[in-house]
Amino acid sequence: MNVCSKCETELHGDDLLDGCPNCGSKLFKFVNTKAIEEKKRREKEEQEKMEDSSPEEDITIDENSVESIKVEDKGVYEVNLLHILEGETDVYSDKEGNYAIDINALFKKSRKDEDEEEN
Amino acid sequence: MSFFDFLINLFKRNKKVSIGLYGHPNSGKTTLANQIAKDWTGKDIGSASNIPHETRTVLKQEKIVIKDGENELDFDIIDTPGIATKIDYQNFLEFGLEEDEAKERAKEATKGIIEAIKWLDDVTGVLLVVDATTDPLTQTNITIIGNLEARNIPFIVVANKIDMEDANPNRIVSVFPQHTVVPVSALNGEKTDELYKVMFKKFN
Repeated sequence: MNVCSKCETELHGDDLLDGCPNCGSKLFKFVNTKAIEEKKRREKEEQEKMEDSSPEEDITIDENSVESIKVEDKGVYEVNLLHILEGETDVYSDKEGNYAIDINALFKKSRKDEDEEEN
Repeated sequence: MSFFDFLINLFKRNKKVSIGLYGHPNSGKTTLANQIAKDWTGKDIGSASNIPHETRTVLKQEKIVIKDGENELDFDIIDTPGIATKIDYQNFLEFGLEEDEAKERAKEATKGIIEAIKWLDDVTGVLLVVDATTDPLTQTNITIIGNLEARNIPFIVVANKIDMEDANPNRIVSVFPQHTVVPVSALNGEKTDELYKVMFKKFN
């Protein structure tokens, strides 16, 4: 379909010869409406897909893995809820596979466990 | 009444009831906490906003007494940061936050999640706040419910935001048929009376 390149009015029949019925311009361009509709449809589909998938599905952390918190990047964290609910928050990892262990907290915990056993 | 019964009653009376509000970020925990506090004490607990992870530290309001005829429930309310499995600062940028500010918010939110979960050791009851406009069947909700059951902590599933057009509290009821689900709108106080009635039964 042809449209006026100045005011985007759709042109029909003899408009191409007479000029734009709206602004009189004789500069026109061809637009592929089908392709535009298809592009819009695809964009909409993608957006819907994004909305459907909750951020939880992107998690790469494994429930059985050793870390409680994985630092993907500065400001991007993944939390192993099961670990933390069981009281373990002492191992941290980054996406390159580096791990940090809070040894102090581990010792405190083992002391606590021993105390509980004694009692 | 034996001396032993007397002692048990004494402890029962002095047993502190602490009710924690748990749930996803932006499910309306702080709004509900404010509504309860406003209804019974006249003041707010914390500030709520539409940016996720607005509450990043545990907020506590001591001694709220709710009454219904002869029933009375005396408790502390503990409003916790939203629990999520992934915190990405980029999600905050669309709310107009600067990058550094958003990254700091993500860090604090992660710390908040750990703090919220640690508080589970100290609560005697939980209101699990679920946004009725979203799918309730999430890993977070399932994990929290499983853990509450394992710890024997009584809880009520609060289907919040029923004032919204696309709210579907029945979906929450059908997903958690074995649990008590109460639909409310924390924002305008709709059906909170129902919630208080259930709280008397569950937490007393």
